[in-house]
Amino acid sequence: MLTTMYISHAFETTRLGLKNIYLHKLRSFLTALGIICGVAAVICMLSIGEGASEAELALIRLLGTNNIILTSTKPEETSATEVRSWLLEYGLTRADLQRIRGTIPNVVRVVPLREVAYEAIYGTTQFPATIVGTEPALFNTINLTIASGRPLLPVDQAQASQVCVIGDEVRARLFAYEDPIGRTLIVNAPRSGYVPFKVVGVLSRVETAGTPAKGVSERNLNTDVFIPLSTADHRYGDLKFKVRSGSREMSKCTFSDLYVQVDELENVIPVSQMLQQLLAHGHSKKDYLVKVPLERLKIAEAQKRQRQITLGCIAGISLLVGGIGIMNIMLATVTERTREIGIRRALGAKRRDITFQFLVEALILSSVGGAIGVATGTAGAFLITWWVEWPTIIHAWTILISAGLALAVGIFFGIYPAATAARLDPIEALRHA
Amino acid sequence: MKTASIQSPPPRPPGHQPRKVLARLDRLTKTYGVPGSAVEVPALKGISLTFEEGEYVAICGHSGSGKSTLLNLLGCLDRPTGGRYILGDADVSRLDDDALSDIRSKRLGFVFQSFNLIPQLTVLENMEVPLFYQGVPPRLRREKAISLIERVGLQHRIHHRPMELSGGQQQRVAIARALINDPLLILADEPTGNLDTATGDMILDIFAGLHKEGKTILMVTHEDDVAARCRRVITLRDGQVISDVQND
Ligand SMILES: Nc1ncnc2c1ncn2[C@@H]1O[C@H](COP(=O)(O)OP(=O)(O)OP(=O)(O)O)[C@@H](O)[C@H]1O
Ligand SMILES: [Mg+2]
Repeated sequence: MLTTMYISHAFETTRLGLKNIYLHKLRSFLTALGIICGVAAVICMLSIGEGASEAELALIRLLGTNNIILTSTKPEETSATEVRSWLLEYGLTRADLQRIRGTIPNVVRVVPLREVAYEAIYGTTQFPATIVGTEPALFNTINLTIASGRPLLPVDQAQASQVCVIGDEVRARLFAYEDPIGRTLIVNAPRSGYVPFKVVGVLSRVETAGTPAKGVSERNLNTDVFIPLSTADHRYGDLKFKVRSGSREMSKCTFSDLYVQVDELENVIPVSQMLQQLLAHGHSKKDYLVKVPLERLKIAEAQKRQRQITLGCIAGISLLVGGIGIMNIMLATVTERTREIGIRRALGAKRRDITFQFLVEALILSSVGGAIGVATGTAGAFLITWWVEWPTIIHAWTILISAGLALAVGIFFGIYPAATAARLDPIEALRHA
Repeated sequence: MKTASIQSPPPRPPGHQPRKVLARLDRLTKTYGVPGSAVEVPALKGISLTFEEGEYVAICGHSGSGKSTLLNLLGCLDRPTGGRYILGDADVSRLDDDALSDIRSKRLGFVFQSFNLIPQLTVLENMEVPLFYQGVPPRLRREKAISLIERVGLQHRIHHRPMELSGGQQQRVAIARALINDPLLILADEPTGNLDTATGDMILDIFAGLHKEGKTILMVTHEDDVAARCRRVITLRDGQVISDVQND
């Protein structure tokens, strides 16, 4: 009974507040504009911060925080005296693989990858895929998921079968209108010619949200075609030929990558240091890179936190300015409506009724502003992605936080004007012009 | 409901019978400013008065004599510096702000010189304000407001805003608003002060009608012909009662 009375009272006060706000449409809109901009800024900033980090974090998680990735790189031409040999030999070798497997503790497995060719053909369509020989264990080492079909299996490796698992983009480009499983695509490479491979599996799309996670792996898994390493050995050997701008280039790079999986997270850093030492001994030139996703993850997460705090503060300041705008207008409103306050007090309004009335008006301004701000902020984030092509991500909590902040600002900056109104002496308020 | 006491006024036989005392002032004083300092203004200097049910009283006096001050105290808008004020059965001179607000919404009706309607509310909404602060449900408020607006003959203007009404019409709305909570006392501070003579007469006619129904009305005025229409005339000078006479 009493609660229904309170609810009805609150409801009518809200209606009254809406009416007063509606009576001053332009002024109310301008007042709410501060909050609208503030909330929109909070949402845009947070979504940019999230989006920028998310792609990188997702790829790092995909590569596995327990993994260390060794990658071959072409060494820089060290000196002019060094005559360019007809064969460029660089990168990770079988000897490296053996030594890692034999000497480094806490290593669960080492999975080698070798790039053997750069062109896949199906029917009349050709696509510059990267054909990679690898062991079936790769599919348990990094968090790849199979969209359809099956991964490479030990039996493929044992029999050196001509089968392959293709990335999502390869599927989309070569098999746009049919199911690739069971079809045969052709891999083309200089010297080796056209070699058929049967598609046995398709990988799920790996989301990189437009920004490849540089420094972790330049490998775009969506454009890879994985074949058994034994088949790669058998068909292509270690030599690699590339025709580039008319001149032939021949290189020998046994493994383009070695994926080293470590047993426990805390062993990742020590193992990476041991790998550095081991490789430094075996290589006269720096023709490899040691990449530690875990380190990158920590750096990326720290960067993300820092970015969120910075962006959040900037957005928070604009919300603060919006709140000051509300306070300013509410103070003006209280002065303007002093007479009304006097009348209401004379007719029986208690101080708290007056406080409530003006607080509700401030809250309506801030919550309506907050709602519009959420809408414009969301739209703004989409526009940023569409226009500037920055990835943005809006989490539910981003919206909750910004809406909550708008309400908090409304209460905080509404309290003082409302209390000022309630403190007015009824007689003096009635005498006010 | 304690306020229902005057809903059906008893028949008033001729002659002076002892009637129920509604309000009693006992050596009431009001001093503005800091007492004892140079800015101290003794506006009321010990007022003792009794108001009975059904009285129609004019409070007269020169400007600055303390009429408004007295009416504000009677209206529980202010607290006396000294003395006692008994309204109905309660000593209101020592009540806190919330309790005074309660009394204003339940037991008192105000009519002001400058009408004091809330500009953004319609006629009906203005009339409902005292009931709103009593917590009366909207439907009941609306019914009561509609039944009272007919009394002042403005039923065709219920959805208009005050600015769209003439001064006399606004004051009639204000009177209807003052009646909506069946008050013990209707307090009017120069209700005809902003109106021309003819319109003022019409307002006084409404007051006279209310008086006939048994309502208790206290009205501040400095016009003798207005005071002449009241049954009892109290005259103040320098914060003191210098005469208190019954007309007719
Ligand atoms: N808030 C106040 N502070 C200080 N002095 C006041 C205050 N209100 C009234 N007074 C003083 O108290 C005295 C009585 O004032 P009051 O308003 O009651 O006079 P009044 O009889 O209503 O006059 P009028 O006919 O002009 O309305 C005056 O001297 C006035 O200056
Ligand atoms: Mg006065």
